[in-house]
Amino acid sequence: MLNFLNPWGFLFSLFIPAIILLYLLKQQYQEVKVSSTYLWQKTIQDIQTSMPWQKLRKNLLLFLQLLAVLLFTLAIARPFLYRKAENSSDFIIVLDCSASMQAEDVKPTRFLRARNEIEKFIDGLFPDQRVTLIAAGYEPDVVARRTGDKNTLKGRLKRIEVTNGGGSMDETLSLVQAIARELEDVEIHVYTDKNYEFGRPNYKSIVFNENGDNFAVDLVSWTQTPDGPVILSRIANYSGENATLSVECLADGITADVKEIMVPADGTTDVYWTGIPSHTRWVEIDILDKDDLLLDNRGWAITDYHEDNRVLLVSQRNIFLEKAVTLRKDIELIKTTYEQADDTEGYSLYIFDGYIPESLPDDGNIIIFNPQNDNNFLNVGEEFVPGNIHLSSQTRYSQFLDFVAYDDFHIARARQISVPDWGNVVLEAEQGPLLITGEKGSQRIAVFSFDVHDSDIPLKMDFPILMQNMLTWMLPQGLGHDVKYYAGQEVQIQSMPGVQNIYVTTPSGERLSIDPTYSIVPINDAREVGIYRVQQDVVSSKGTNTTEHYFAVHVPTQSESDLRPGQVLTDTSQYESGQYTPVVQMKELWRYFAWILLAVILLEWWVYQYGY
Amino acid sequence: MNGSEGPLLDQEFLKKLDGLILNTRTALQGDIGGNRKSRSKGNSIEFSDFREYVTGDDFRRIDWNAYARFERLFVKLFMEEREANVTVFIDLSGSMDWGEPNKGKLAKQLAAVFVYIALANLDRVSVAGIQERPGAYLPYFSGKQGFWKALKFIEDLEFGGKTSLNEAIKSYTHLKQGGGISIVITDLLSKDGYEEGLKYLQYLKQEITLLHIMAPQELEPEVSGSLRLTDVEDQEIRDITVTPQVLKAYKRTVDKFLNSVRDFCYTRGINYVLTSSAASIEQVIFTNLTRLGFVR
Repeated sequence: MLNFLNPWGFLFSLFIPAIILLYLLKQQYQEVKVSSTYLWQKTIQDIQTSMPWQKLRKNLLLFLQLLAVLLFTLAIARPFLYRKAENSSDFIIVLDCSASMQAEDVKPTRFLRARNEIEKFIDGLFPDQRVTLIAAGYEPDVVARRTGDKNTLKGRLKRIEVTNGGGSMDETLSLVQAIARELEDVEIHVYTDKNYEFGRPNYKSIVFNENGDNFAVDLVSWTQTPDGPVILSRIANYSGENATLSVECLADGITADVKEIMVPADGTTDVYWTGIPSHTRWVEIDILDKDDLLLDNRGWAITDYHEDNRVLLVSQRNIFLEKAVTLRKDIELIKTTYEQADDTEGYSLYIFDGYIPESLPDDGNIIIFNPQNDNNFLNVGEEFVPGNIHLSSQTRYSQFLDFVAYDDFHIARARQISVPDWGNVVLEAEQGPLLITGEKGSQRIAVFSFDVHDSDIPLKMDFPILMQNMLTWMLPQGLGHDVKYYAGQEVQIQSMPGVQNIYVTTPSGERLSIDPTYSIVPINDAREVGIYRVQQDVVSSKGTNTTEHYFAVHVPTQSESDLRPGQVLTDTSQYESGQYTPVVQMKELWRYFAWILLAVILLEWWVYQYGY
Repeated sequence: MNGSEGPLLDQEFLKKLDGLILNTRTALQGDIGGNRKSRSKGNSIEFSDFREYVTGDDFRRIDWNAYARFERLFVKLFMEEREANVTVFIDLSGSMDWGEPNKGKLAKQLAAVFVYIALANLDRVSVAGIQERPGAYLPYFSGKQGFWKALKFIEDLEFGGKTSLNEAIKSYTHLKQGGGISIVITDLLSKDGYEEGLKYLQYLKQEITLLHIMAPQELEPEVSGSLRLTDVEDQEIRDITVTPQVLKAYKRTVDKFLNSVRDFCYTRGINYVLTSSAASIEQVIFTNLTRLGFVR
């Protein structure tokens, strides 16, 4: 149906009689005397015989001008065609930005196609209709809120980018429901590649899915053997047909091996890779065959080999501590006495039992048991008999006491310690603190205000648990080791004590500088899949020492790699494979009139310039 | 205008004309012996042919040398040299007084030149103006001393009125019997055509030279836009919107017109010279007409 948004535009057609009037008045001739009109007359006869439509052409300019005015009038009247479809006043548009939307089974990609369809939808809006645009990326992002401004909507839409992550459709849909509750007359369109079934009539999913074939590297893992690392990779086939694939293994970016493997339809095949050089820092597994989603054809494992952590225990033989610390296999424990304990350095962790050196080392973390009052570090006071042992408050340090039954501890005596400005009391008795932890710069420090020998704690099985909890914090077990990050997840880097600078190099080579003030540094930009390199510059009295480690960010293959629409969510009433019915309410036509108008004006100019 | 700022022809130019004669293919007939060969063989010194003696012939003209060779009597025939009757028709219509440079001035100059050349060749000359009807008329005369009178007559000619070439020529009564030379100076912008008049002159055994003068503005008009064209002769009005297309068509019309004139003249044996009024009189005489062989 044709209708007009701006019927007042027709007032412009008043110019039509004006032009005709001008034409009637216009016949102003320039007077020219000629020797004879004889030749001119012959010329006119000649033209008229060769062009029988001369009469019509005589006023061609007039007709063109009238046509131009007519077209202009039509253009400013803003005609539109509309199909009687939705008459809702509000729309919530959800665009799925998960990694599977990058699949190319729908050209150019599912995501771009969906974005185009949304753009068309926006073009078709009535002036009084409003759209809330939500991108279901790493987290739901309300890109535009209840606006009918098409330019704003289209501009914001253009800025939405597809992610490498699993998307946040569930959170988005609950957000949508919350928003929809506020609105009376709302329709929800979800542009996605999976079928979501909504129990409500005003929900509609527009599905972009052509059953793309996909292969994915599902898992890359490794284990250290005497012959070097052995890599296990799992290749998944989501295509519905058996496939023979070429798979490549790269060690530190250099091809180590290529294998042809058969992967059954909808199954997986495990591939082992041996002969990897022993000091390889990371391996990459690549599927060389092309499929509809290239993103998940690579997987990584960090085979970063860690040196043992060197721990110095300064005590008068504390067997309990020795046993508890050496439970961890990657710890090399060095024991020394108070006399030899001054000016030590080069350890990851110092444990001072009943003794504090004159100057504390600055290159490692520190655990102090039973401090004496002859030190420059802590202000130690009178002894007391602790009673009513309890957590002081819930802080992030409370994790030291996870799985520890501290209320069953019995401590004969402890010493009063005034809490330093870096310290947090974790465990305390009525009379004073028992465990103070904190970070002095990037140095992690824990102080127990009692001697373990003066308590029953070492006799309980809670002691090794407490110590392991502490060591986990004091000696982080290498970042990225056996940890699989997915794109969009927050990656936490544990900064090393004394660190000056932390740099993270992304897979595409971008170098991020990270604030090393805190001991746990989150990286929110790990949205690119691949290997990230973390460099930490640690300054000690020996100079600057740079350590490097790696972590890998993956595609969440379990949710994204199967490109088929899936069964669970399918709403067959809405979905037909490969057919998208763009929801067009209104098709504005003024642009077409404007283009024709331009053509007519050019033609008019041409006719005027070159005659007929 | 009468085409005369300053004298039509200066003395210097006239001297250059002294060596020129009008060249005619057709021989002429006249009363008095002139400087021109007549077709009738007669008493002059220029030999023409032999003919067998018949009774009554002047026996003084028998060629005795031929008799000695052939033993038959032959008489020598000689070209009789006669004066020619030259008529200069000049188109005096309004359209001739137009153009930049003016067509009329060139027409008058040409008329004067032909009178001068004819007089220099001991021919008899008449000047006749043509408009809708025969106009001013200068009767036949000869003798160089008459030139100045003729020049004055030509200078005083006035342009104006319509042209009717056919009508004017046909009703012209002063032509001498027995043929002659007619020089027609016109722009041919005659709405009733020109063919009939020229044919009539040929019927009267005139050898015709047609001097067709056109102004540059007629050959390539520099006008555009909506124009109201007024004919200077009959004040006829014609509205036209001149566009490049129309100009192209106009030029095609002019070419067609000139070609038809040229064809007509060629098939009828008429000397035809087209000249632009922008050309100088020297150029017309010493280049256009000389190349044609009409003067030499």
